[in-house]
Amino acid sequence: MRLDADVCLNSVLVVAALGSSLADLELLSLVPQLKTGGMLRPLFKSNAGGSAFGVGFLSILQGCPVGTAVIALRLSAALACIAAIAFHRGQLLPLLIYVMAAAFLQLRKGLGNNGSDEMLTLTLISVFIARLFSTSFATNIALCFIALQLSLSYFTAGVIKLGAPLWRDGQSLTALMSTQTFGNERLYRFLANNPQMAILASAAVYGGEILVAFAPWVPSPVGLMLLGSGLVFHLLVALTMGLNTFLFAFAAAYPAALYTSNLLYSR
Amino acid sequence: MITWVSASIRNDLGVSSPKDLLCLAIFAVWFLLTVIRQLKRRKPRWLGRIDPLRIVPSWRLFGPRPPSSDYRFEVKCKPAGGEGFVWIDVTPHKPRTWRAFGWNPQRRLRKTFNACANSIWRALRKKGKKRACRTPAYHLLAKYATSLSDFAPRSVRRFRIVRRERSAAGTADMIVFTSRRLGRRRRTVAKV
Repeated sequence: MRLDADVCLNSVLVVAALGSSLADLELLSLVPQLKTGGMLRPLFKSNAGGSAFGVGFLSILQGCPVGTAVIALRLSAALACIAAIAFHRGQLLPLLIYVMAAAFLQLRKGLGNNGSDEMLTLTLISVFIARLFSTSFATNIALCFIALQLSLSYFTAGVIKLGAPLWRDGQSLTALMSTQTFGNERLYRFLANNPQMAILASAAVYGGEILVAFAPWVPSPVGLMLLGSGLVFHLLVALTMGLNTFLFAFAAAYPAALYTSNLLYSR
Repeated sequence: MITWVSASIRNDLGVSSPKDLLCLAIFAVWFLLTVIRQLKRRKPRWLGRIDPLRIVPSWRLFGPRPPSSDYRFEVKCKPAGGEGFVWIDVTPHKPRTWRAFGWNPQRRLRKTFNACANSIWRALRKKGKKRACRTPAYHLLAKYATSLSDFAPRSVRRFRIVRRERSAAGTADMIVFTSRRLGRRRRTVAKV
């Protein structure tokens, strides 16, 4: 059975928009921290070393105090995308607003963004490009691109951990679990008291990441199993480490992975 | 050669118009840049210049060395009714609760604070205290410390960053950085 590209792209959009909405609601709950003297005020000098568009222009944008309004605008645009799919309306306008607001916030910096925010932005911009070009080829290539990025993300994360001796002997995972920021007290005690289990759990993390990277490139039933284990992994990460938006950010790319697998093996 | 490549793009990939070709080029370049980004831990300068929107991500996620310690933020100030100056813990984020599974806004504060602490610590080790006090991270923390509403204006004198590490031997606290006297001479908090 051949999967429909539009349905897959809509699924990607809905999950990514939900994740982005959650991230924006969390940011809006921290409004005092966005104001002067708050921890989420933008940092000036770009760590990227300036910009092709001129540092002066960027400084104005970065110092702009309308961050809260733009976050609210991005949230509205993400919700409008979901509504547009539900009511069979055009998604281009809400996506355009979303992309513009996201671009502004990316320039502004200093919002404590992590990998999930990057994945959500990347996914939604890809969907925007597909809808902008509005051809079946653009839809296909956007889905394949998202699947490629998903593969690259898991593969890079897995291989880099595999290459690190501290990850291989379980010390990194135990140390990570010992922190208040990302850790879990019970899991830390368990891993610290059972070093063999720490090695096994570390191997499950990087081995799992490397395996899930192949999900878009294997036949759909195997891909589905791999993606299922990926989903369980993200649920456990949300539960133990509090990285809740990773679940949405990476799950949003799963329909694209399934579509790519289907495209490759349904001929 | 060019004819062969263009025929191959048209036939094998199903590109039927210049619009499709442009779309393919956008995604191909974006993916290529992302692959290049993964090769080094730090973003190459040239990539930073052409990627002001930061849409070329690093997928190293907790590798190769994940965070293994927590930071605490303390300010030296005179509490209301108190006589001398004392160090008070004013870490911007609250401890994580079970609700963080679904709702975890504090992670952004943690991430920002940890990034600032790491940035100051790195600058201190590599370039010395003078340069560490000129980093954007220092300015942000200085502004945060002097804007705390719990204390009277100008009562906060300094801030310090304390690192807490846990191991089998127990928990160890280490002061990794103490700021200069705040609000004196140079206005360290001007541009944040």
